Amino acid sequence: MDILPTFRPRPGPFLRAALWGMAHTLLASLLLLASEKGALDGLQDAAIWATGPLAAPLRELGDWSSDVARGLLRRPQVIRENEALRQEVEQLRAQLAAQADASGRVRELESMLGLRPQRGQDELLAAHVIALHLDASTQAIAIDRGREDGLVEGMAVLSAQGSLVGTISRLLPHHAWVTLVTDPRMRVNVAVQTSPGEEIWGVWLGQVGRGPTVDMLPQGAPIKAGQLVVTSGLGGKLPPGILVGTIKAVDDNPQHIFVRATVEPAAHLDRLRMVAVLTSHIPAELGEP
Amino acid sequence: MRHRALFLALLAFACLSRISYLHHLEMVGVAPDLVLVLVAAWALLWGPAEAALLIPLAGLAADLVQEGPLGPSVLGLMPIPLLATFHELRVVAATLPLAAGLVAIATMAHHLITLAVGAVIGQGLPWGQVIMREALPEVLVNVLAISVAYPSLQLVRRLLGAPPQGLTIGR
Repeated sequence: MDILPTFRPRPGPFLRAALWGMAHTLLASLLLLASEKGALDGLQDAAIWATGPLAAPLRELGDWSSDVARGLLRRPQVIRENEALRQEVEQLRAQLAAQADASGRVRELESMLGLRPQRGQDELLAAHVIALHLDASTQAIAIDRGREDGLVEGMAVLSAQGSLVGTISRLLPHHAWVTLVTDPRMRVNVAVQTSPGEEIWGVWLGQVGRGPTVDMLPQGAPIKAGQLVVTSGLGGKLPPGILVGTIKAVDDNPQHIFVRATVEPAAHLDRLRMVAVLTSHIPAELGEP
Repeated sequence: MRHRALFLALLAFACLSRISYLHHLEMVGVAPDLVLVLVAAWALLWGPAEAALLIPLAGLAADLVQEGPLGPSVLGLMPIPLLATFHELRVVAATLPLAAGLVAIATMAHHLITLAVGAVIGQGLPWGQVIMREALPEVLVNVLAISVAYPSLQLVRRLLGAPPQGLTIGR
């Protein structure tokens, strides 16, 4: 019979938790390293491929429920908005008719002067949106086209109506993640169309948990709500003339060096089903001047 | 093993929700982090050892269906077993306020770790903005989410019959 009590060394709960923490850190570091080197692209690709079809009916259901709830809660406002939109559509149709005539004359003049068109024939590759990652610090969508479809990082992704949705930020073999224009890391060189033929350059900036803004606009510029914001083509990452959004409000505090405007993206980013990747424009990588 | 099958089903649901409709459930500008809420509730109900075992799986699943590299979510969920140890030692009684406190601390820790990882891999964001506009509102939303999830899982645990706490591989 033992007189002395037996002593079995066992790690205390906090030591045990610390050991788990170390194991998790080690595992996470290995995952990060392998993922940054592209070694786990196949796994991510397979996960998106497997979850995409399951997520689609949930998205439909979520969108439908949201529409029903919004319709019930904001019915009078929806009716007013509908009326305003009808008037806007009519106005835009009239402008479109005038523009079609003007663009025909521009093409004629360009061919007479032997100028190369600023944007040639766009080549587009249609893609389905299969997953969303929409939170305050990341705004991205996954599409069912990837590296093997000829996509390149930085390519522009457009909505079905032709406005800018975002750019390709992460390529997998058969899928790609597209960073949306509302992502806080997004920077786009844009031009605000103040009047026909007049543009003012600025920079489109995404923000954490807020709507995007256009910054670096000069003081005294005639910026007003409702003006269109298009890509300027500066830097060569995106072609010029793609609609990005409209000006919502202007903050022209005279004490600031630049005017800043809050903007509304043209595309309905949380309801995208199909997008088109602009494959004819390869984003330029400019070096230091 | 039944409780682990349930965890996998709930994890799959949480990940699918995230990539499909969760943005419609935003309150104060953010949606709940269902994976974090699930792991936190699990750690309190089935023990920190069980949560520690499932964290790599949960973190990997969360990262696989979101933009960005794999790994940050495993790191982000890492403090949960440590926090749940306070409950295991009966430092604090297992009640809803404890679950809410654990989720609040874990949410903040998750964001701080994710911000640090982002800064290291060159995808940094302004810390102040993320904390004020995302992390703090998410604390509130996650606390609301666990107020529903914790009692529900408590009931499920009673129905399943509680397995002994600790690492129980192969049971």
